[in-house]
Amino acid sequence: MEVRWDAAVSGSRFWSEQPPVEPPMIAASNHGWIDVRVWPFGILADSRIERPIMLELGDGFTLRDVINGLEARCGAEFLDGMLDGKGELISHCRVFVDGRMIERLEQPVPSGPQADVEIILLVATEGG
Amino acid sequence: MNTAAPEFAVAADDAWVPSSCSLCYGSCSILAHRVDGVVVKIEGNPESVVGKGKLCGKGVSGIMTHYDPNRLTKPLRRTNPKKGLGEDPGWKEISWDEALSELAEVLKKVRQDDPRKLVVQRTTTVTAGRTPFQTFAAAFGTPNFSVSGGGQHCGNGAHLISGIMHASWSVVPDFAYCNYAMYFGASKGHAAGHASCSNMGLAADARARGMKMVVVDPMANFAGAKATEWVPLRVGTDAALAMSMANVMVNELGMVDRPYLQARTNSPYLIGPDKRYVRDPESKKPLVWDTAANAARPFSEVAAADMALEGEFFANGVKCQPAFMKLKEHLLKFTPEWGESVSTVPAKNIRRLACEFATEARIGSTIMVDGVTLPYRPVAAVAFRGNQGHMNSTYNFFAVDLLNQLVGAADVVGSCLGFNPASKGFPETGRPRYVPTADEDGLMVTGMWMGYHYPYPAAEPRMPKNLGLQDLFVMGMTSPFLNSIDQEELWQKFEVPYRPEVLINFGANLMMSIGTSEVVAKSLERYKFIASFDLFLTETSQFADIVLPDASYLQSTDSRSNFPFIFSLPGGMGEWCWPIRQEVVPLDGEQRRFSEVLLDLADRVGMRADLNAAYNASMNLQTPYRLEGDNAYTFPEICDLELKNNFGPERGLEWFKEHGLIKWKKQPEEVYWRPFVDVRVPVYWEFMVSMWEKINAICEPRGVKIPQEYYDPLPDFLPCRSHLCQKSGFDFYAFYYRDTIHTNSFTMENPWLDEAAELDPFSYYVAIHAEVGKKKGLHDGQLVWVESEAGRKVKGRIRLTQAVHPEGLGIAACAGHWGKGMPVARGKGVFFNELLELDFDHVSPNNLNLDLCVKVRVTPVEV
Repeated sequence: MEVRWDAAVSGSRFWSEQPPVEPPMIAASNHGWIDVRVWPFGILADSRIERPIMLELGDGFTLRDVINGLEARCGAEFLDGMLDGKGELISHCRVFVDGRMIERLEQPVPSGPQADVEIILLVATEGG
Repeated sequence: MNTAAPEFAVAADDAWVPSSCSLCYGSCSILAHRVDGVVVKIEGNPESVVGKGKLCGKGVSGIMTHYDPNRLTKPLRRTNPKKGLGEDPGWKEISWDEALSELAEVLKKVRQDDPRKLVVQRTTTVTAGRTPFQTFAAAFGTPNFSVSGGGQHCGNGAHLISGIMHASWSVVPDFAYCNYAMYFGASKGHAAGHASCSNMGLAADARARGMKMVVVDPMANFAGAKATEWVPLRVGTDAALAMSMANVMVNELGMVDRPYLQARTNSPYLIGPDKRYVRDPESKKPLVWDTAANAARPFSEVAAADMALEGEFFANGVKCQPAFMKLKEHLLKFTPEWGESVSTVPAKNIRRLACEFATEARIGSTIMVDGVTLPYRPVAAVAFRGNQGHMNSTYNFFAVDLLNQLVGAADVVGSCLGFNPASKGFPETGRPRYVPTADEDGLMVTGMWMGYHYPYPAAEPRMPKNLGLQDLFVMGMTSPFLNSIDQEELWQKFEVPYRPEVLINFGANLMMSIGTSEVVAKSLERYKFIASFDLFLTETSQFADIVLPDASYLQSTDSRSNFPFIFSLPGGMGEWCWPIRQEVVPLDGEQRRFSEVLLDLADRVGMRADLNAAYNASMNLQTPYRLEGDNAYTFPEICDLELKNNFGPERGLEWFKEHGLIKWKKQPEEVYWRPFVDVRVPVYWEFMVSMWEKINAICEPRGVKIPQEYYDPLPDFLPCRSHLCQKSGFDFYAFYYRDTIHTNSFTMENPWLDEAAELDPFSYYVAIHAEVGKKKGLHDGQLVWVESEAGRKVKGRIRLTQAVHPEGLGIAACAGHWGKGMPVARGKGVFFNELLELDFDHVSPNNLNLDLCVKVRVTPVEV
């Protein structure tokens, strides 16, 4: 009997199950304004800009808000290594908010009254 | 030389220490037997999945590399400022403090000026070197990170196709269930490549079980010798053979897995006259033709079974066809007769092979594994280095993998498997967890297990800022332009705003691993400063200003001896396994471990906080195991944090030192993940259309021609330079193969392996077909010149054999050392790479792959 390829395993929830240990996450709460400390590392660290870069963002801020804040503070050139031509994070840019990796720009970032944002560019995978 | 360690030199010292090999990047798990402070034997660790207790000739010979009296034991400073081939550096021994102080001063100045002027280069042999050097480069702020010939010669095509089609670094047959494997220029399971020792056992068991193995290769060497059938073909024509087979399967036999193509590929996506997807005006999602609704609808809104694969439709005001229809029509021109004319494989054999492959795929069948019912497709077409070394390597790999895709033999039972691209992690922690995801077009994006995996989602081509130009040629992973003859011309054309000034090299022997030595030497001479971590003085370290004596693998600790941990793990069912490397014996003389030297250097440069951040990102460390601020962690402390991060607080470095490794059971949903994850792979590479336009828009005004045929969404056969050579007398296609006795140029210094190579009929010889050789009046053992069209020459002894294609000339790489620092290796074998041109004209304008086949003539050496 021929079985449709996509029917062989229908209904499995194997990959939707969450990992047993989730990274600690600070619950979102109503703090009004949040002090965001941005720590650019590696090529993004510019000796002309003191680290950390302080931003004040509203509750439920997103990574996009951080990017906009950085552009306003440091200029568009600062974002050159972080964003691609479509304004999205380049594939080897890593952003951590309070130690937790954030992958999507529009994702609201849970945090307490203060947040630390670390940004670094890794070099892309190389051959061998 | 390395001697017995005093602290171990007591009668009671008799220990078997679990660790990891480093004689090749397979990094198999080992047990090192230490008696009275001396390593007396190395065996495979039967507890480990990585190697499965087996160890190849290279691995057992590692003891001779460790105790080689030619090992470096003190830092060296060059006194002769003039660099060049044949220049004596005038080495002077200096202290580590002197060496690192000087290097740190150089680095501080460069980092202040423009960090991109630093190039970091590492060997692929020591996989544990990746993370420390990647993090150092990222922290420093340079994107110029390269892996020498190991990447350029072996990875740009192979890893690209494995990434985009299998979410993995490499592919392998599912040996436990596969019944019919086709190897195109690959020798997986025959003492070479990823997971080499594990795969040896799995491949042998599969052959004993009755798996038919068809090896397509100009030479019947490691895989071919054990094959059921060897299919010799003209060098560099794999795509022609594979496309002809695909044509037979699709258009003559009509044997394809339609449900798979509908559900897990972009075959149903409608393609417009501009070669692009026809998209829904609102959602921008690619449209498919919904046969139930008789209308074009976004792919995400249509049941796979209702998606049309063939026909011509009208949507969004344009005529369009499903991608599969485009492919089907495209294949028509690749008749077996045409395939024969290009590859020399008889048309009747092409038809037979296609029929066997499609029949053995058992399209529509299922099988139960560990209680889970899964699709069963017990065929696999895999390719590697042989397929890779050509201008057309992208299409060579695309064409070969299409054979798998057409019959649904992708990451299901018995099929072509990516190396472990989906892991749910260690059961107690759920780490490390990776699984492919779908992008907005529904296409597969590799799970994030080693950063970005080329080539998809494709980066936006831009005016290059990387010295290798990979940010312009975004299909290219490793670039030859760090060493090519025309690098300055290219940098000027593309207005690269800086030039390389400092090179940190880790164990790579660029002079031997890339191309002709004259050109590579020029590229090294232009650096203002070179520091090189080495075990021996190599042909490349002769260009260094400072040479740093590295520790051997038997003197090193690393929490990830295989990185990523799936890298050396065999595919298929079994167990996950994370082994570590640990010191078996202490350091000798003033040798130091590269991982610790880099931390010291970071402190001296004043970039520890950046380095800590890079480690956090690279290792994906989570609170409370993240490196904080600019704290000066030791490398063992970093290893300890990574292990606890992944395996829980009770399993740090000390736990791993005692146990050597941790393992847990793989689940069918991980190994055969494809049916469980709603992602599609492209049988039609639509993204290449706009990619070419963007690249060409930058290149054309600068006088650089980028042929559009290298960026067509469907694969084609594109000839190499050698195929176009018409020069009289140049009638051999020279190629090199990886000798399983050796690892690149490194192990040629090992006396046991050298002895084995001396006994081997081919390792140090030039193989040509016996009948052809005799017709030319050549005899076995004769000393000949092998000369390229460009006039580059190497000398070697002839080995006449039936086991090479009549037009082929095979040489084992990378022999022919000339440096005095590796006296065992010196003068042995043939330096094939000397024949290779290193310029834009010999590089694929698609994936930057260097053309590794050369049309040559053979003439006797006058005595």
